[in-house]
Amino acid sequence: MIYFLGILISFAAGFLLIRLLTDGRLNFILHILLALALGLGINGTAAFYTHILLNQPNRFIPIGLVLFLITYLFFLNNKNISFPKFSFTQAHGWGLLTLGVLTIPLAVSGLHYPLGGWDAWSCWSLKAKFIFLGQENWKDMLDPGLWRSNTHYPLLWPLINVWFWDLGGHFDQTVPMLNSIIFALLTAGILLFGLLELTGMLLPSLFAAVIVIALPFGVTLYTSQYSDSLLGLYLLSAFICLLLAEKNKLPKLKILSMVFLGLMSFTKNEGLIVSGIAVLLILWHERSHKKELKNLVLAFAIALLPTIIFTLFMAPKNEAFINGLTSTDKPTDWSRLMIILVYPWFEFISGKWNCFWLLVAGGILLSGKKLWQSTLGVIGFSLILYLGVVMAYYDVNTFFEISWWLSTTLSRILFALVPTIALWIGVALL
Amino acid sequence: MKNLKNIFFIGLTLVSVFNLYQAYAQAIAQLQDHTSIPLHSLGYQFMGLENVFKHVHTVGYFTDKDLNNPLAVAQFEQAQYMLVPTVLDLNHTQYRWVIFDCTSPQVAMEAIQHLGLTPMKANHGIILAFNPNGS
Repeated sequence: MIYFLGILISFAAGFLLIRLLTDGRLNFILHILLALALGLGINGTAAFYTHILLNQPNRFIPIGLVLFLITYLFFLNNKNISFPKFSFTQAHGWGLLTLGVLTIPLAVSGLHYPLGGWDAWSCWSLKAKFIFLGQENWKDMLDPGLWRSNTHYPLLWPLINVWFWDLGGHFDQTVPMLNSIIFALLTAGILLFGLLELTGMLLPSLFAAVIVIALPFGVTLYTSQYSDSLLGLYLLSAFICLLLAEKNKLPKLKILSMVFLGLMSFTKNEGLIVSGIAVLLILWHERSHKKELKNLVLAFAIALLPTIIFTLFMAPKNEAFINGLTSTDKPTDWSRLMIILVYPWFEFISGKWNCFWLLVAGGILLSGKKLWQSTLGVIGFSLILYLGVVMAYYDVNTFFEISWWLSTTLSRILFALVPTIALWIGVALL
Repeated sequence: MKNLKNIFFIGLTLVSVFNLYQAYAQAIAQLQDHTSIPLHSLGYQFMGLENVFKHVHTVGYFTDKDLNNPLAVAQFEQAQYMLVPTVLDLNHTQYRWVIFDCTSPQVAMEAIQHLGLTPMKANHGIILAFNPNGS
């Protein structure tokens, strides 16, 4: 019950902030879904500033901070706090029904793996428990002896869990499990209603959401409580806001897009890379709107601040890194590069993706140059450049045996991009 | 071009229906599977030890298992997860409390005797030992 109070608080914070930016002109269902995604990020940020930066074990401060923000936003919104005009159509009904249908396999899988997957207990939920139960000794999670838990990884997902435990007053394993289901459903909902709003096509929007979420491999990963799903959610949200800003002539949605990219940078190191690439491309794309640029940079900087503080001043060095370009013991070589270049093709045709990448290839061919123009071009080049950086990192870091490393991580990297790829091709094609 | 698009949308429909079917088949299989999943339930053996380790910063974790075996590493990592905020120091026994997770209870008892520790608790092959000279 307390968990749902937390969801309500998160939603209120996100709802009021988005309302301030859009003046109630955003599609109401998308407004609700984006509000919850944003609100959860705000919770994690509040927990970061109190528990981590100020080293405050007091559980009431992160909750109080979010409640203060809600009050402040309420007064900022007070000129026009009425609900926006919204007519519930049959399309909305089908969309919500689809989300209901997707909830069942996600809930069953979540209950089947209550502790999540390997990286949940060895990394993400482990860090959350250290922060919440370790109180002022939370820094023990950065102990070099715990190098297996990727001590240098950012903390947004763990801190979102901590915020809910703060609210409930005790550690509860169901919180990361429920959050993993919520993130999956938010991804489905934002993709479905985003595509519907952008294209007006109901059936393809429903199918896109089903393909992305109901893929059995995807259901397992979504309920594994890994930060990749949060990364995927924020990347999708950022680009949906960018596309809607253009379509609905709501330039302030670009600010929201930058906030999502800033939050995404705190999900994983990969999130920081893709957010950096996307922000640079967006700023280049918006270079003619000089007045807007300042606000975009400011919004990104504010959301990025926890990442900067953690990465520069708190995160220990990555113990699982050997620079293969300079190392004499484990240098990178041609055979490593060849494996990196060949392996992804076997991944694409792997049975676990149920022909998803075949559909992507077909969609790219059918969409043609539309995919590389304007805002869709920003999305496309962000994805390509990000994958290029990831491949380069696989080549340079020779700490792990490459075949094993690719087999355990590449599918997760692709998994986080799947919703955005579906959006990118969907908008171009429909 | 229109034909190709139609083929694409037929493919989209078929794949989404197939995914949904598979997702539900997986869910039904999970609902019917009442056995515990080895990799995902290793940590339950350590439940209860957190009450012994209240206010204990670090304890030792001794294992003779091959740590190249994913199950052995998973067991250690789930033990760590269960016992947070206490830190488990892998294969160091200088602490007041040491957890022995060995290939057999006999091996664990031999190691405990060799190190001069006192066995205190046993649960599913996991033995907790007290080190009177521990820090």
